[in-house]
Amino acid sequence: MRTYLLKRFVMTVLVLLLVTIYLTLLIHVVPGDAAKTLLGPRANADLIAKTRAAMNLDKPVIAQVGLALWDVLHGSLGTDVFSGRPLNEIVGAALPHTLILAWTSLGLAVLLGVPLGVYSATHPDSWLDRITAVISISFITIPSYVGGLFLLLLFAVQLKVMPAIGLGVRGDVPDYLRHLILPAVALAITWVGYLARLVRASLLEVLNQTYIRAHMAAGLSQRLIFYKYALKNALIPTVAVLGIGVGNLMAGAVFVELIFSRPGMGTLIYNGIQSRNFPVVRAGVLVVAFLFVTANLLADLLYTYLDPRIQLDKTRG
Amino acid sequence: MPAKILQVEDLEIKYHTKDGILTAIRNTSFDIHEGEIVGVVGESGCGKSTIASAVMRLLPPNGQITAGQMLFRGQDLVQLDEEGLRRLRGKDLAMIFQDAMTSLNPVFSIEQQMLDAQKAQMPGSGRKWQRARTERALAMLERVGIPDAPRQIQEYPHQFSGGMRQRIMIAIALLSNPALLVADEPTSALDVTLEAQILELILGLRDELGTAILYITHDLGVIARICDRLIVMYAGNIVEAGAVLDVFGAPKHPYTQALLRSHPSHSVRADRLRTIRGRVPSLRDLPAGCKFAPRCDMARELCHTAEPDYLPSGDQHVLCHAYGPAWEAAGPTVALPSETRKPLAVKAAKAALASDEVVIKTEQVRTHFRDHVAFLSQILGQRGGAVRAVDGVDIEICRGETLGLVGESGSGKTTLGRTILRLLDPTAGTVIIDGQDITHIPQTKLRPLRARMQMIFQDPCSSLSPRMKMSAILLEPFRIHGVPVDDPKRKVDELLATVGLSSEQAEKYAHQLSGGQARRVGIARALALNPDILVADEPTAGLDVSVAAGILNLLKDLREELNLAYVIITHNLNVLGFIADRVAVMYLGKIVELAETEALFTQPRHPYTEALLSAIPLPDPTLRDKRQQIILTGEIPSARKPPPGCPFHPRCRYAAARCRSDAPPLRALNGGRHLAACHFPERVKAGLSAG
Amino acid sequence: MQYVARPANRYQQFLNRIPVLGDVLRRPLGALGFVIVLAFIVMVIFAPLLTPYSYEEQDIPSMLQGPSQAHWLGTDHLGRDLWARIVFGARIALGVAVPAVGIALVGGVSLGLLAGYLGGLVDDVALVIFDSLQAFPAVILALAILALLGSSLRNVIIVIGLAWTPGYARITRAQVLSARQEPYVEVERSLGANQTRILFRHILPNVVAPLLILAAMDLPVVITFEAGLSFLGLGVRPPTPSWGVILSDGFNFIRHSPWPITWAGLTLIIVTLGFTLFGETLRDVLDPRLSGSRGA
Repeated sequence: MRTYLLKRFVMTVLVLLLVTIYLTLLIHVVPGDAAKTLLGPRANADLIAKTRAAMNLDKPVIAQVGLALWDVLHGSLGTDVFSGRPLNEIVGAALPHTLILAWTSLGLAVLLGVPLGVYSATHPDSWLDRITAVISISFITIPSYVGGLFLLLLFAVQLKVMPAIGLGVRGDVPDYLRHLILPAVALAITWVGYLARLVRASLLEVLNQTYIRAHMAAGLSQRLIFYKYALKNALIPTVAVLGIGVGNLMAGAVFVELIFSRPGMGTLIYNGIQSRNFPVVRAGVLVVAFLFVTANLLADLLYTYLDPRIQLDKTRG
Repeated sequence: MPAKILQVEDLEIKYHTKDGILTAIRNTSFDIHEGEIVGVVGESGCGKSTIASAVMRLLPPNGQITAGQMLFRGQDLVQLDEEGLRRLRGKDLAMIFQDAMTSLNPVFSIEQQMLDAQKAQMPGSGRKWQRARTERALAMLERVGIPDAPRQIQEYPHQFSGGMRQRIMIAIALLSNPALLVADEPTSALDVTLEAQILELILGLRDELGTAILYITHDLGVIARICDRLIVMYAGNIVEAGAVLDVFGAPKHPYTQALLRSHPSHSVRADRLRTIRGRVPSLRDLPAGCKFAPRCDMARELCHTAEPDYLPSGDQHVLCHAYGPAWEAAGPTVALPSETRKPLAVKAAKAALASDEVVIKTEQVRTHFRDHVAFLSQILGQRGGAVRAVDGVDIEICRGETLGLVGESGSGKTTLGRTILRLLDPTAGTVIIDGQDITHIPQTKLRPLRARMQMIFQDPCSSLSPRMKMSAILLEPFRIHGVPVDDPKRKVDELLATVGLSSEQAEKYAHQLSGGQARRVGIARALALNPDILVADEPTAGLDVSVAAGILNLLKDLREELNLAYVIITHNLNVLGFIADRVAVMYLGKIVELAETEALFTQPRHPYTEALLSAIPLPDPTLRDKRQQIILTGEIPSARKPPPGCPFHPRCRYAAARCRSDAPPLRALNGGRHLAACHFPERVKAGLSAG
Repeated sequence: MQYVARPANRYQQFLNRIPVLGDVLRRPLGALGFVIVLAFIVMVIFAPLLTPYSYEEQDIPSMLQGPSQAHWLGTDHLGRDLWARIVFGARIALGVAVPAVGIALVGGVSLGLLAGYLGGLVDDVALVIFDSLQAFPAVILALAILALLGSSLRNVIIVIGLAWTPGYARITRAQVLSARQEPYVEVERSLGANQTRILFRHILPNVVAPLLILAAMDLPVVITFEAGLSFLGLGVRPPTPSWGVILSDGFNFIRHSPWPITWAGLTLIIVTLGFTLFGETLRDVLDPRLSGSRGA
């Protein structure tokens, strides 16, 4: 078990270092000078040279990779060439809004999707199950940006019952929450449908297992069998998927943040790309990758906790 | 006679399937008395398990009881609602299933599952009740033979071996001291020595607790060993029922007779096994009249038109016209088409059988499996162990000779078979085929040799490529070795005919074949290139006894026609008694005894062989008291850490101090061809008298 | 209780004669999916016949109109006919999705076969690389690359192809590993077949079939992915009528007309729904064992 944890941890660090290397190398894959692209065609040679030095572009590629890794290992994301502010500060300001958005959506998806799936599985082939099936499949197919645009159009533009953009008045928590509703719902829609389908499928599969028959033969009540013995088995694949879910929610956040003009990682990366500010993009992507990998690690640990069989199997593989 | 605990009357069960509504059980009536073990026997698809589920009212959602009643202590189970059933199931009714791995919930500890299982009986929630439940659970675990119960109860199902899981399953079922236990093939997935342990446990618990048991099995040997009465099922009907001694002594229904005769054993080695023609009909197209008539040699015209009645005949009940009033006027016997197999064009004279020419020879062969440790884990300091699957084996097999390799799961018999064919590379030692050392020759040089040595694989269906037709599968050997085939279609038909299949099978895919047919195709493929060596891995595993009999007859015929060196790997000594010339008994990667079949059966020289022989379920209830029962304790140890000294000593009833330190070599006894690896071979006495 | 065989009508008999599609059409949701996919394909092939307008013909005076006789779905901010833009947008959607999934399939299957087949250190290293490539969401990876490469139809296809490759490679690898354990592969070895024959005749067909189903189910995912990139202004460039571009234009004028967003959004949802329903039913029909699993 300890070996497994250690292995997973080393793997996570390795993956992050590799991501740093890719991001550093990416600049060189692209034709043209990154500093020139950043500053635009009219920049003078002196400024370009300075910027190149600030971005370490004047050093050999190996050294650049080395410096980037060195920074990352020290928890530093570098400096924004434009403003001269440390990127840790810039990212630090954007990150909480994205995290709140993503976790709220995930919470919504679990709170709505899991009960929906359980209901369908407990009433298979009832008309409510069929309706749930159609609704959840349609939900899966709604991309976050379409969901966001529709919600914005309906509630903010047409009905004018919800705020359209921004985070709300600074320090006003209820207002912040009001501004969170539409983006979070837009982001959660797909996952509500997906979780409902997943929970339904795995629950139905579990209910077909011999051990459920054995529990019935032992005279356990339906409720106990369902909500204790079957559900725990059925939730294991769901937990595994939630790790991936966090990553997808981060990706969806880019769209939702832009549509609702919310500050956050998505907006940060998008603006960085628009202004060709590569250090900002690199820092943003690195942090998102970090969150994604950590979420997967957490999901794995939860998975190991829920399923006693995993510990043995994984150390073997 | 004790009171009736269960009375099943005119039961009828139907399944709703996409092919329509199928009747799985018809007009079925039987009783179970208190403390009695009633066996239900029959081949797959005859409705045994449906009966088991019906009694528990645990039929799958598409199954329905459409007529009849099941009186349990006078209360009709058919009429009970879910709540009433639940109360009954927790207390008076219990069930154990075939595969304990899938019937224990994998993500809850044994303790959790055992405590909840008592809720129906002891619903109290206070501390006192809690403790009472825990104590009862521990006591039950100890009773079924789980060592160190207070610690083990915290563990999860996957942490136990198959035999231990089955014991836990039984412990959970008997927690509430039920009046009736339904056992659905509880030992079918276990090795013989473990099966013997579990049967002993069940018998002991019955005597102690007075539980009546409805015991479902396909194995007549198990019935003969533990049951008081027996019910024979065929295609949804009870065809015969009576006391075990009566039915085995004088079986009346032709199906019962045929089942008993198709059992292999060393006493019928000279003959062919009696098979039953055709196979169990699918519920979709049941024949009119008697369901067994199309497979019955004595069937008359009446049998094909009218269903017989279930009538008493002597001490038994039989569902057969032959014992009914209308038999005299039943018309002439209907001749059935005979099932014949085209013998092979023999390539060598039969006289050349069993020459002294050694075809297969191994010298101190070892095959160890090292654990795969991923690169990253290696850096992190994880080191893998090794499984010593085959650990120093010497054998010689001559042309025309059949060697049987027997042992339980984990004995290394299959690994040895694969190593002989170089499907696995031996870790040490040499493998010599036809005088040529093939231990280290490269695969490119080995490939031409492969045409001459073939293997029949254990799992018949999955060893046929799922996306290929049988014709393509049978031509594959020729394509691989670039052997031109003039008329592929004729060749395929010829091969199919060799194994007794019709040419229609050529156009089918693996999933369209029955287990027996798939096995025959596997044999045909192995024979395609006229091999000199044939290794058959568990040729009858998973097949019903009548189908297995057909395969064994086929293998025996081929042996005589082809004059090849045969290795038959099996866990079933009965099979070897029927077919092998010599038998090698394997335990933990080593051969512990090697002898002529007859000698091994009548005078074993190794305690393990003795125990295996005593554990064979023989279909003869009169032997129940006469046979000496040697129940091995414990289970086969892990081949990662074999015990020091003689590997068998921890389970051996003759073990002495010397056995714990010195490993006995395999040595010839009485200067003859009988080899055993035991320090005290003279102590082993009990053989198997020809039943 | 008597079983009465339902009289098979002409339609049912017709379905019985088509091998796989018949089973798909028998299920209501599968049939719905099939109809949508068919309509989508008709749109792609017959686009110029379905509308009198060109997708780039501007008509400023009649901009941002609602549905009318002349413009069935209304017009956008440049007065272009929305129906024409959506119909031609279908061509872009499929034109990006098919080659992109094709690239991912070819690349992923080759890499996966290599890793799974060679095993050992190669496999370990490959796994770490696949993991790290999947360590950030595909959208962000694509954004970063497109920002540097510059956006064009070709680049969008390449980037999506690259983003999907590691996923396919992982699945292929897993399939190869499990196929190698299959008894029929060992049978081939025992018959004396060489490695190449085993790999290409026995392992590959069993690996590719489930992957093709997965790829078919990924088409709608890729379509929404492309539309998303175009919405962000990093995919297909205006005036090419990608559905994402229509959404993006509509977003800029959201306070003036709801129609561009409504129609483009609905089209995306309906097409995705159609592909998903069809794909899931097809998968259930072809291989019941696969149901319940879904590629990321």
